Amino acid sequence: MRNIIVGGGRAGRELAVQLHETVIIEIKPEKAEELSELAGVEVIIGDGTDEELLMQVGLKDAKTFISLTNDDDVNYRAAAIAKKHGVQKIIVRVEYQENRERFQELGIQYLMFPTRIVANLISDLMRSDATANHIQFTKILVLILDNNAVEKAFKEALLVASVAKAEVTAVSSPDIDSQEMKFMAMVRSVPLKILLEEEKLTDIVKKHGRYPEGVIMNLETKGQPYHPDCIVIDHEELGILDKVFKRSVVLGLIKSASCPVLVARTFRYYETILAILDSSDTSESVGRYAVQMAHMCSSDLHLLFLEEVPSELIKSIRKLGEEGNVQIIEKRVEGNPRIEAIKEVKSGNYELVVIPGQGKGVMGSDILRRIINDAPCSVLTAV
Amino acid sequence: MTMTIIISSYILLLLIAVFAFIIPILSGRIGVPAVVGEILCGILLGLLGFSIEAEGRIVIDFLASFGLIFLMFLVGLEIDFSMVEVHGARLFIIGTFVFIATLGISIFLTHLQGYGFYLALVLSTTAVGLIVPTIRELGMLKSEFGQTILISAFIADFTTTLLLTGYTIQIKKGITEGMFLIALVFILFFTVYYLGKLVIWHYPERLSAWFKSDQPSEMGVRAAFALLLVFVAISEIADVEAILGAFLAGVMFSLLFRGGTVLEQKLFGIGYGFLIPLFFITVGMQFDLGALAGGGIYLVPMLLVTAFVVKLVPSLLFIVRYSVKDSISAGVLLSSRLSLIIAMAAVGLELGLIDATMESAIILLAIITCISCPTIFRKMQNY
Repeated sequence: MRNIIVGGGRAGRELAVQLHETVIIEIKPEKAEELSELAGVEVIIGDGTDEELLMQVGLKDAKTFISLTNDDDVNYRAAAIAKKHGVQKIIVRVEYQENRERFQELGIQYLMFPTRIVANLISDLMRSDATANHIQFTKILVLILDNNAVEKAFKEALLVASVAKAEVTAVSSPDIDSQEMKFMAMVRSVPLKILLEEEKLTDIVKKHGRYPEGVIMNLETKGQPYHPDCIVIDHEELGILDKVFKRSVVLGLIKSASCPVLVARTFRYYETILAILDSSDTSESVGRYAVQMAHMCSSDLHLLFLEEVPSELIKSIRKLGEEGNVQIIEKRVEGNPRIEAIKEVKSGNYELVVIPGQGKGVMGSDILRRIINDAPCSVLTAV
Repeated sequence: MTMTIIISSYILLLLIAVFAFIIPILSGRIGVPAVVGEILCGILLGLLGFSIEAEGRIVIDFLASFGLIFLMFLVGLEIDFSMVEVHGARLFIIGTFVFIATLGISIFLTHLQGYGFYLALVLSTTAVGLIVPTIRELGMLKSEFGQTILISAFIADFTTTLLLTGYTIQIKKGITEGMFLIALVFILFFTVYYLGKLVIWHYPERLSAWFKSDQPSEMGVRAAFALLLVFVAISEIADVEAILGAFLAGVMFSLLFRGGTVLEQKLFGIGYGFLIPLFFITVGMQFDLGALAGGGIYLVPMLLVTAFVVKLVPSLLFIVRYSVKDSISAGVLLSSRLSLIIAMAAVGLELGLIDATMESAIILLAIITCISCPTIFRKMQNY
């Protein structure tokens, strides 16, 4: 199983060095010659949209197919061939934002927009001194409830950490495969600290009825209390009785946490984010976190206003959006706000939904609980 | 004695409709709540000798009683449960303490005067159906103070209705069956609530259309009426007061579909635009001066003092959150009695728990308080 990279430019070269067992297809012979000097990298001179050639280099058995040329049409044709032959993971570079839909229709999971990413990084650097209201995402805490969560919550935490340039602290019980976790973090260049609890986390939470502050507070042993900027936790499958008696580890955590909680369910980059705002005072925070997340992930942001909100709030969110180069689409509810909110969450158009952590507005805590437990996408609760 | 004028139900409906239209304009100028104007207008119509022929009487009586049921439905609908989430359970706790104090003082005072538990219960009621239109008219429904009064009134009327139902069923059918029937209504309530939540989550697209303004067959209004009548019918079958069922249906609607929607506006239009003024005018028309002349009048001062003391003294508990003036004005508004006390008097007479003289005195008490209390409250709040 190896990785196939189409396009041997600077990005392709850099990537090939980082990955093992890679083959690069490069159309220009002189560039190919330069690449062939790299150790452990096989270079083929040819056209990345030539199906026969791709089959020869082992497309059918490829682990990942990455198309990195600066021509969207070439990348599209190459990705279409990879898709046709059932490659599991296809990553494509897209130069022009307007081509996004075409690639999405093709069913490509991972789209990269280098121009936008660079623009965001530069604007980040420019704003880094002046912006007091800039939300920090530098310390991410992941609670690993079981091995399943390594696959899911931890993976999503790493995705967020990699775009936020954050360090991840994972808390888990000792029966976890920490080597695998360290490897996953290393691949994404995310600093990782693993802390092991003697008891299983699920048991600790269940015993206290909520996530005990103590576990989070005692994380830093050097006397400095640890305050995460965001906590990531796997979503949980609740039985009917658990729902009736509200026995939920995730809900208990959200109730007691003093920072946003990300309930992981998407396990990939967020291309489109939905933020639900009502007249409660948490809405400002919902808007800010949503804009920040959309900025970091280069996602589009949809704002759903359930009620009339102060115009200053809308203005401040728009301003943040402009500063962060985030495309914001505003929607206002006609009809019943709760039903419209559920309809939007369940539409399947979003990878992440940002909601208030407590139901103080028109949403109500029962609808929030339902979204947290059963939404088809990841959920970030703002505080 | 004035001569009785026999007119058909349509002519009377026309009269009522014309008065219902004029009263809010007049009462606004004089500075009394529209409800008081409607009752006074009803008394005037009665004094002028308007009476309805037998067949027409059934129609008007039915419309008026349905007006009361619809009023209780809208009262339930107006309770904003998000207030409870915003202010914690504090509002409920204050309201409960105020009611417990009311019931305690009421039992003590009626015992001193040589009456039993039933009269104490009767005097513990308030008139949530009068209080809601009053604070609604003053634009105080959305304020915390308005909701505190509303919730206190709701607790008083809800608990007394429940105690009345329990007390009467226990007399008529024994304690076991009584509890069983009340439990049945509540089981129905929670079942419909959970089913409603499931339907909202699973079929938001279908429900969404009901709440939009361009719905040709007004499915939402039909559904609301069906929900209301399910509860009313079940209450009738279980021999529980129909207003309790209507009230629960309103609470259910508020819990499931909270939010200022087009559908709510339509329901308010039907209620406050037609059925509810009809009810209040009919209450005035049915007031029988003859019964008071029969000896009930001497009881009125004693009842009046007791009725005010049992509400004003406990309302001092509101001082923990509001000013002395606000707390006393809340006590004054809570002292108003109307439909519930009249209904309870009728039930008490039927079961032989009070006599006809006491009943007529209770009715006069209701008339005096329902006119004076909202007016005093309005003046105290500087409207």
